[in-house]
Amino acid sequence: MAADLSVELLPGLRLKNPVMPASGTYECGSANVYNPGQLGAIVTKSVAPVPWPGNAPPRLHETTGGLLNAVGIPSEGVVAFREKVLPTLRQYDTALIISVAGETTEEFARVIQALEGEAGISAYELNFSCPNLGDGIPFGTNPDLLYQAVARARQETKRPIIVKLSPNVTDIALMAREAQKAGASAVALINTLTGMAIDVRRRRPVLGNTFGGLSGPAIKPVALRMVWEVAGAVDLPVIGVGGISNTSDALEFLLAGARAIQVGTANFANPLVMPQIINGIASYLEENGFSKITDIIGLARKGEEDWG
Amino acid sequence: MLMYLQGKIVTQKVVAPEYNLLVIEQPAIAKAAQPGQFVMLKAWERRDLVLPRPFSLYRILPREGQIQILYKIRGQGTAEMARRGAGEEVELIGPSGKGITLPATGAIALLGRGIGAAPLMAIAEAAKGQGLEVYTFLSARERSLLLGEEDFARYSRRVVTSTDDGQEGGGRLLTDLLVDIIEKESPSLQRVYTCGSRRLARGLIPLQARYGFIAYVLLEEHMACGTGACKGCVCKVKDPARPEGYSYQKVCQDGAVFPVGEVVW
Repeated sequence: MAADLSVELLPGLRLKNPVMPASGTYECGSANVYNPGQLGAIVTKSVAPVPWPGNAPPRLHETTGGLLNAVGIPSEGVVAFREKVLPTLRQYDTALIISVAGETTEEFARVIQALEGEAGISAYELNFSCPNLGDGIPFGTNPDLLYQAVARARQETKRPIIVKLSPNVTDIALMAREAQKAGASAVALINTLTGMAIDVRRRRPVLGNTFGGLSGPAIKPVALRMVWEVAGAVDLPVIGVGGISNTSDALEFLLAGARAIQVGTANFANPLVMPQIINGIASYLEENGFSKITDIIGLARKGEEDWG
Repeated sequence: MLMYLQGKIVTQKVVAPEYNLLVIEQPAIAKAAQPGQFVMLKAWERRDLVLPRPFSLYRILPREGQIQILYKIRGQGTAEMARRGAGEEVELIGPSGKGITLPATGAIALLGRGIGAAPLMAIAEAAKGQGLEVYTFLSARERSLLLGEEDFARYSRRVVTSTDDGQEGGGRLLTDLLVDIIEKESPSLQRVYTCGSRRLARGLIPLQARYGFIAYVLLEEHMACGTGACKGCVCKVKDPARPEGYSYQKVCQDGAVFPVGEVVW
């Protein structure tokens, strides 16, 4: 009998499988080589309150085992998103998670306000990688700002709020606890690690924005450690993300305690990677005698309390 | 419709110092591709090279079920590609981009600098097949780096070359050589396509009104996905509707072909 891949990510939100794209790495449309409805959820690129063109190019630089990006979250703005994009996303038979970006606490609230009247939204994911307009510090790296932004968003909606955590902090478990206190329903981690590259020929930074976010296989061990830490620190569902490129990577995050996983950079090299991971997880469960995916979530931590 | 498929290498040969021609058997892409489109290609298992690389299509051969890629060995990805031989498989995503739309009648000119000649060959072949007159202009540092001259000659009424060392065309700019031909032969020039040099593309802007053609540039950018998802490969395009006067367009999806007059250089 085929193993049951479905997971209850949150009370009332059951996913047909635990695999979804990381925000900004997967578009639904003419470029799809399979029906996005196969995925556990669709996660949109981040939606800002007003149109924003994104950063000046160059925006991309490949590093050893990784990708630096300074795309800068271009967005058509929430009104255009609501009128033009959202109706096309609702047609897929799967959960829909809207990623939300902003430069102030109020901006997150405004995006959510503009979408609250719309049907078919399963959850919001807050992207805190933007620098805060006030002091330029990204929301995701300041516990007080993160608390305020989550609490403010919580006032706007009864829908689940997923907080995407930045790894560019001293104590990511502390950030997760702040998110929980402020009313988050789940956390997703990690966002990209801040990095840069210099062109030695031009003797200038490669990226138009100087700094960028590092993603890809190179960051997976860091992401996995942080997922492990956070899954042990908060009483919230954890979505694991960071460098997942194949079934084995995905299994590591599930075994560490992630209830779902997101695939980002790997989508660029292998457009079929997400369905391949879904099938790969099913095969792993069957080959190892598990009847359902929930049997393996956090399994690597079994007996943790006795480890001393 | 984009496809993600394996292709099999038929041959790979060195055509100039650091330039290779890769012939790939992939019937579905060969059938669907249009001149000016490109593919994302991965020719390695190494996980440290994370992204596929974009390559223009030098020739599109639907009957043979083949595509040809002319490329310069420049970094680790292309160095890996150069090591692959006949019978080995590569991964392909494509065909990507909008491609070009040829005029119904008249003449076109192609201006290629260095590896910029690569996507122009597919255009030359299609134009000749449609009965258009083709004028080709190629430039490079030196003679050995002029690419595809013989192939272009098959599809062109005239091939004009120029090298920086002055051995060909007196080292003159291709835009100046284009003006010479227009003045001397008065071809019914409808479209000009250029690739490989921002200077050449910019140089075509004032010539458009004077000689009544529309010029297009095939832009190159670093890409992660090549399919519109990553928003990484943008260029600045004039946009009067925006307060900044421009907006970013994706080279992979909105191009790679853009009217030279619309790009903010």
